[in-house]
Amino acid sequence: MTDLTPPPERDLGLERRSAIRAVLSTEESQHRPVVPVLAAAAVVAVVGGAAVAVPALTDDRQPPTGGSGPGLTTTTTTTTTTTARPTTLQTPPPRPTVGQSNGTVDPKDWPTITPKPSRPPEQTCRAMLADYRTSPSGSPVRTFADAPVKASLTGRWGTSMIFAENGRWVGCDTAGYRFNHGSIRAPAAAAPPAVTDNDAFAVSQYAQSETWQPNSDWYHFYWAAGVLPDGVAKISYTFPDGGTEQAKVTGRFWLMQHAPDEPLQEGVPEGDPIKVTLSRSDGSVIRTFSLRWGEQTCAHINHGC
Amino acid sequence: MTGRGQRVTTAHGTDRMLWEDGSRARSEVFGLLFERHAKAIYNYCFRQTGSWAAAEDLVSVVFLEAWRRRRDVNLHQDSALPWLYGVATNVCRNSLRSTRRHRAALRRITDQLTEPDPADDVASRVDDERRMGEILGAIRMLPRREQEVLGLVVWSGLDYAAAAAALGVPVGTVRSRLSRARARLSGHLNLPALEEAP
Repeated sequence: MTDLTPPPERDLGLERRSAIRAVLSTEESQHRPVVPVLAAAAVVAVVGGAAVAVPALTDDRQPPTGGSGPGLTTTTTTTTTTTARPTTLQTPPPRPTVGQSNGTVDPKDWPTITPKPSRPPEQTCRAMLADYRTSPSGSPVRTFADAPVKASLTGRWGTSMIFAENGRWVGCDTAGYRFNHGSIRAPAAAAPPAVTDNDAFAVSQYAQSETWQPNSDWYHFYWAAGVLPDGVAKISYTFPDGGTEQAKVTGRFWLMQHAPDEPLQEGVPEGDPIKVTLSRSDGSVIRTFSLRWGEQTCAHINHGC
Repeated sequence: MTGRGQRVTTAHGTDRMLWEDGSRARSEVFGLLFERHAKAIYNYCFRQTGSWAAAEDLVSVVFLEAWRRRRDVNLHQDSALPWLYGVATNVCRNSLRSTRRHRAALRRITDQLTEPDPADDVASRVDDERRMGEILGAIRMLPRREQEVLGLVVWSGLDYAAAAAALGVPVGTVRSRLSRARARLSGHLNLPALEEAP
């Protein structure tokens, strides 16, 4: 029987402790707003896959919920930090070591997870939305549980959907729902993003399995959703495994899924970045760009990647 | 374990007394709260990630994030610790995004560090990480929400009400999540201190 007693607690080193305190003491001036509050258009909240103009927030007007939501960036920000290609965060839920004696669990002893019963995708998404109160940035999510479906795309692992009303939309995907891993994107304004707004095309990526058992085969799964930018008629994604997916456009919304057939190998680097190509209706390319691993590949808000 | 989530009284009084002390600058109050609760949050982050190095970064991020959201601080039984655990839970859940948001401040912290850890400490930290990795692997089959309740109630010693305050859910939800976690793990894993939880 595995003992779940963690190692003894440690104290934070004195040097690090004083370094954190020193930085905390300077944060007040660091976090003063860099744009006037009234310059609403100057601040863009990157929410899920869409960019939404919101009033600039002072320290006194931060979203009300705790935790870490999507970052606030000003449009005047010109530096882009290249994120190191993630390793563990982009791999599937780590599997426990099997067949070793150091307190690990043999697969045959692994408790069976009882999956939730299958339901129609729309019903599933509405239940997920109803269960999720607000996004990390404080936008109401639950209110979309009764909103009309605007777009839908079904693939190997489930159905991605867009719900919208009152000028806002939210994305939902049922893949993994039976194992508590359906995903929701943060609500956003249903306004066309700029074609240069790479964040508007961020994908959700995480691993899927038929059984969500540690010794089962796991597969990469990607989905994305959004509002079409003005002038864009087609969106295509090219993935590290070589696969290319055309987003399904429904009205002014679009959805995309990618589910490679080959099980993923742990410890294997992700490979090339995901590339996105935006095209006009005549097929001419407007622009092609790459998504940054980690920053633009974990667009859902209700669980990790 | 430290960090019971109960009322904490020190030389400066409870967290509430400290927080409501208008004679101190907010940054000074926050610094004192950091000194008071850094160890609990540091160890919580370690138990969430299985890495002392990650926990060192994440405890920094937790307090930076808490400072950013200080207008929303919610004291539970005069303690800020449950609220800090709530911030830490979200930070650990979305560690990449959280770390990205505060990368400049993290860089300033790292820039101030000079002394490497002694070799013997490194060895014991590695042992801790191996052990914690096994534990995290063993509970991985639990839904994230149940893992979080387990981490707060069983490992960090919060009572149900404090855990509920940390997670922003009703007490009954904490109770039922813990009960489900216990049922799933029953017969396979030995949960420490679960019987002591209220």
